[in-house]
Amino acid sequence: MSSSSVAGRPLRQIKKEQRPAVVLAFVVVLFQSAFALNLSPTTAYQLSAAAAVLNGAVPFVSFYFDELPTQIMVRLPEVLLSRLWQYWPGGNCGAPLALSHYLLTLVYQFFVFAFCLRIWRRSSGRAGGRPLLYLLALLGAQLPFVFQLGCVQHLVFLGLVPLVFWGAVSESGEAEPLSSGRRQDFALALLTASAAASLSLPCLPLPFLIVSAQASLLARPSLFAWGGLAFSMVLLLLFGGFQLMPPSCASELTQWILTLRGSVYKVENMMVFGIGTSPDRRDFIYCLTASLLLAFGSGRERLGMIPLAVVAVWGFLVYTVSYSGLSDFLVLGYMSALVLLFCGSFCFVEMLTRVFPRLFVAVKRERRSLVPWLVLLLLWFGAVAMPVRGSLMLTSQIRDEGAGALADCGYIDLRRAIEENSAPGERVFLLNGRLAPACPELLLSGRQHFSYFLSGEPLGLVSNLVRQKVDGLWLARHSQFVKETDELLAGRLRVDLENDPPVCLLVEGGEMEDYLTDHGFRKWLVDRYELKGFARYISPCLAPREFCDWNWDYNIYCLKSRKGRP
Amino acid sequence: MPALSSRAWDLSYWAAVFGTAVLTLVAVISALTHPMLGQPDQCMYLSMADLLLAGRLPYVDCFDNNPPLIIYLSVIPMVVAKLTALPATLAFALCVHVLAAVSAVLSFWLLRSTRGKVSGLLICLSVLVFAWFNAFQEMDLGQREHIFTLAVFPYLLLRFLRYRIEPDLSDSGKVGAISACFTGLLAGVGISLKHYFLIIVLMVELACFLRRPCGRPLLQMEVAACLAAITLYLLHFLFLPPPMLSGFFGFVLPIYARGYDYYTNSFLFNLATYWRPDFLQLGIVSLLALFLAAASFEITGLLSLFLTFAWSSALVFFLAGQAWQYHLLPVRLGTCLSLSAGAGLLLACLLRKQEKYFSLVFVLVCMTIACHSALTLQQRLQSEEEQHERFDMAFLGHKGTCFDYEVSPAVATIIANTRKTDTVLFISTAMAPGYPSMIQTERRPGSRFIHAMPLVVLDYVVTSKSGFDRPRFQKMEEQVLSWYGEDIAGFKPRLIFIQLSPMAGVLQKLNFQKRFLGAYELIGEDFGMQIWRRKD
Repeated sequence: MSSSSVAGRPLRQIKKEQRPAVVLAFVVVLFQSAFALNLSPTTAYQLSAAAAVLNGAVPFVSFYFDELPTQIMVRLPEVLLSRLWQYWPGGNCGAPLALSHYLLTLVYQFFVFAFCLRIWRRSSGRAGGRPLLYLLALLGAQLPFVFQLGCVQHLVFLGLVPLVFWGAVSESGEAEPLSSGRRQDFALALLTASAAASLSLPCLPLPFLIVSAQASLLARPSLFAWGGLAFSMVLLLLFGGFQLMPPSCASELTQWILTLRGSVYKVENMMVFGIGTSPDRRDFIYCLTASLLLAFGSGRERLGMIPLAVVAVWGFLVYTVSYSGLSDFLVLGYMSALVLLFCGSFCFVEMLTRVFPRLFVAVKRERRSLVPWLVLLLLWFGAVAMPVRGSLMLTSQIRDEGAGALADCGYIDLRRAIEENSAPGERVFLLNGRLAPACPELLLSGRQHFSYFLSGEPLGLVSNLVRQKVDGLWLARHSQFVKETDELLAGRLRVDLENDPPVCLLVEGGEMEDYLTDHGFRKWLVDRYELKGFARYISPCLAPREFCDWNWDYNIYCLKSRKGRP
Repeated sequence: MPALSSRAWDLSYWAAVFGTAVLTLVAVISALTHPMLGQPDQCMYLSMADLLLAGRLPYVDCFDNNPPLIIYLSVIPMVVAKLTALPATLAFALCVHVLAAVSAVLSFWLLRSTRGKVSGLLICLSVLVFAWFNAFQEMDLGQREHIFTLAVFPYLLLRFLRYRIEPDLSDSGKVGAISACFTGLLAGVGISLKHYFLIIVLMVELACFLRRPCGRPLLQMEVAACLAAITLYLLHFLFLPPPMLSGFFGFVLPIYARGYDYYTNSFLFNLATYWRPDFLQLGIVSLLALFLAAASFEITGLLSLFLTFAWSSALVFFLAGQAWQYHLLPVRLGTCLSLSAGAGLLLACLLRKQEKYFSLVFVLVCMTIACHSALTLQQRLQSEEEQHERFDMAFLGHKGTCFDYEVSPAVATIIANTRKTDTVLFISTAMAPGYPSMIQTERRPGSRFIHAMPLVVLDYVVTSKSGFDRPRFQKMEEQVLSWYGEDIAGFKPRLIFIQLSPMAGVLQKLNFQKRFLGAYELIGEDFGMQIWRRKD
């Protein structure tokens, strides 16, 4: 086969077919760049952990961390890159980290896109316009998630894309054995998918599930074996990594961290009751339902749509179990559902133009093939509208509340409270019992995080267990587990506060103020800090400012004397 | 799919019919042995129907926040109760089980056109599972969602047959015009109960259409009958008495449109707290279905229909935003039916060359489900006999006995302090314990407000909302209070129950007790209520 043609088609022709995808890719990159200075809560959390590791801290021991260590590893290059920016004027703020994160995510997206183009070029060529449709749908699905760009689920989704795409451009009756190029692509796609899935424990089985579906669709049982092998290798590597972990890390993990983290799946948290206490993402269910309806009806496109539907449903299950509420945890399911929706809608409208031409009597026959593209375009605009709407709502709310009754009562926005009461690089502690808004507000404002607690989430987790009087036996530990963990965390908080008091302490009223009082911090707080005012996390509970809480107001405590710090 | 002789098919078919008959009998016996068992919402609808029969106009002389169709339908069991001297709760349960039986019989009748086809038997299995699902409904028996599923189930099966999605249904026989018409009318009534239900039916229709895009199935009798029923119901509003129209559209609807979120919860709460197992089951069944579809797409038409039903019901559940269990009923039914369809498919694929064994296993499954259900009922009755006391229904004016737990806790207080002709007033945000105790004691409500939801929602709107016509809703709140005053003065309820939290606080703030309870004395607190008795 000559280099100027692949699968009997001239390379020039293939590249011409791929041009629309390349153009859309640029459009997507441009759109994403407008939101480059944002970080999602989980991304900020992982970046903080990575920064701590680069400063010599040990995960699970020097700071609380309850995810896979691979999530820290994947953020190390971003933190390293951001440190180059600190030599620039004004570099000591959050923008360098956000930009580094954006740039490296861009590189990863480029790799995935280029890989998909390569898979397309090496495909049999009998897939017609399907590869272009899938690529355009995949690119379009990135549009609504600019505020979750590069979060773990986004990275997992991107990692799965080549594998799904490889199956989507296959043919059911493709010759056995596959060409060496196609085999290589499969192996590389499976490797990429497995590496991406290793970032998140619930996502580990996904490459295997996708490959199993493809094995059935393509009637290639050998794929099943490869999928099983890849899954087993990843499990072995993770297990091996766990065995090689320093004993202190393993001990912290197994003695209490994993159990505390796992309590989320067993013990409900009353903080997420009520309207407005967590992001209203019913749109995910609407999209998922519509996309599954299209997937189950997609006789002709099932090669691509069924594996995508598997990812979408799995993403739904992960989100349901995670009990987090943040949009970071529905990216996998939602993106897959969106791709399905785009492809399915296109195929549905295309089918209507073929089977019911009388419905399009107003459209000239030669232009009827454009109708599905018009529908796709409208869907893309809808997808773009989501983050734009969120941004506009937030901007307007901050402006209105900042100028209105809120300001009259002496409240200021939380970000402003951080910036007015501390200098870049100084230590600030934001205590609210959840991941957001400490992550990402502290990182984006360029403040140093507190040492052991990258966020107040572990304190919130244990407070919930204490409040509900959960017996440790319910968590498959000894009866006093909850009490001991509560005392352990309170002790670590005390050590951190006393050894290196932050210049500014923002404590959420309600749960966390009660926590400080119940654990004997009140006197220490009153002695060392003065109450400067109150702050509110002004947010419509949409990205880029999501939260999962009653969003109580924050009390702003400032160190009475900065000389008091060692 | 295995090929089946007519004899094997008939044997399997009648096994499914027999199994369904046994399940219906189980349901009826369960109702007969628990004659006083009634649920709050359903008893409230019965009360509204009772008032309608007594000549009181809904939204004028008695208020509820739901559209009137459920009140009209609730008239049927109230009439049955009066004619047969049965307790209203028993009459209601029996009427629902009759509807379930009609739905199952209609489904089996429609499936006669699939004689000889394995796909037809798999649908028969679904009817059996549907009957099993209904037989054990208790808390949500007769809720609007339940009536919807009962009414619409044969319609969905008929739509599936019309599209002939499964390969071996391609030459199915015709369905008679009368049965198609009846199916459509029944479905139309079910859909008209709530506007959201139309979304579910449309999505299932779309799922069938996607599998087999053709226009002819849309022109069938049952579609026309369904649309006719819905249209008739909508048109009937034009013929309602003007006070009733203005009461519903001018008073009830604006209150609930503005204050709807009083009873809603966050998306995360609805998804991941009480009902998390249901959505996890739905997700897992969907995954299994996807793998089945990957293996053989053509034979998964029925599975995709039930899954579409389940997912579109989930969409409606989240759209409504409230975490009531009965809102989830169609999701649970859809998941159940999908599981049975998937299991049936696997069985058919495994035994595709073994017609004899397929028929045998099919019959065995039907018998097992039926026998297990009968055994479950028998064990339940036995354990209830051991654990619960018997209550003589003569205290309530009926013959026979029931278990003591069936009788609402407020019944004893009502019986002890009132006569049959007295009225009783419950002022509470929840239906219980007012309902079912009002129905069980056959007392009439002492106000046009048979529950206090309009007042509490109005109070919520006036105190918590912004950016709307506040004076209008304040006026409505004052109107509701003055109506309460008129009713207490006019009906002179012998007992007034006021919910401790949050109602007592709301009423205190509005000076309710001072303004209207001068003729009453507080005699105690029980089951979360203050109990006020008329002094004279």
